[in-house]
Amino acid sequence: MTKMRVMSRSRPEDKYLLVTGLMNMNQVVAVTGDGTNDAPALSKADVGFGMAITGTDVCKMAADIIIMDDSFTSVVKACKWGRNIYDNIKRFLQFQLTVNVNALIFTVIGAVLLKESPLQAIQLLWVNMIMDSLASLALATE
Amino acid sequence: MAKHILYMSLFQMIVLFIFLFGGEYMIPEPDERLRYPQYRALVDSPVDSKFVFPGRSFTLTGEPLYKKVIGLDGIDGDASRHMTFIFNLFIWLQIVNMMASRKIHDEKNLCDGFFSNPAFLVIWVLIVGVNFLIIQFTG
Repeated sequence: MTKMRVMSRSRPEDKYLLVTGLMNMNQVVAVTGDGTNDAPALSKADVGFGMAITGTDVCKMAADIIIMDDSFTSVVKACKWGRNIYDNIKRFLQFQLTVNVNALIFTVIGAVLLKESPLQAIQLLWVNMIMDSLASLALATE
Repeated sequence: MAKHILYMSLFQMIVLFIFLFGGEYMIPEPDERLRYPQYRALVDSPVDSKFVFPGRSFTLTGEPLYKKVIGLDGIDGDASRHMTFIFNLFIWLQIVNMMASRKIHDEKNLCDGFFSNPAFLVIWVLIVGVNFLIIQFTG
């Protein structure tokens, strides 16, 4: 099954079989479909793409994502957007966690050693509220 | 991601603590008045050196670092620029961190595509500008 690229004359049941087999091999599976009989495969797969124009209502209900223009290039576009958003969330998390971990360690150890915090509350307020939120905004638009 | 956070934090902590405890040996103080604060150091801090006098108030054992001497020309006692430097350094570390956070897949060149995102650029300039204003014109 790993060497298979194209399968002709396949029935909707074969689709379902393929999805089940691939998912048993721990693969991430996306399925496109338009007919009512595609619904089992669509709901079984990790991501189901339903066709908006030619697709039936059952297929649209079973799908996770509905392709509005019925074009397969839109699937690639959806993948790109998904990865972009996932990367942006990771960027955001990395920045925020680093800033806050640093501020925390620095103020705690500094206060323990010096009897006073090396960074004042008003300074930390500026760092946390203005800088962090703006920078996160910037990273989210990458 | 955890690796990046860990190493970035480690790096920032080392830099910040070096300047927090070694500032009076490294940070230059061009203003001559500020090298002779109203109160003299009780400990053997280099009062007449070319560097800032420490902005810390206590020694590591909890003794006060300074004895207040009234007089001279009205410079406030806590006019050391040491802590301003620390704050500025902290902000700049976060700005660099912000630029580094754009690359999360272990890319080598951090600056690649820096100018490709106008929103990022505007916010970067804004943060640097406001940081400049805070450091230069506020207390």
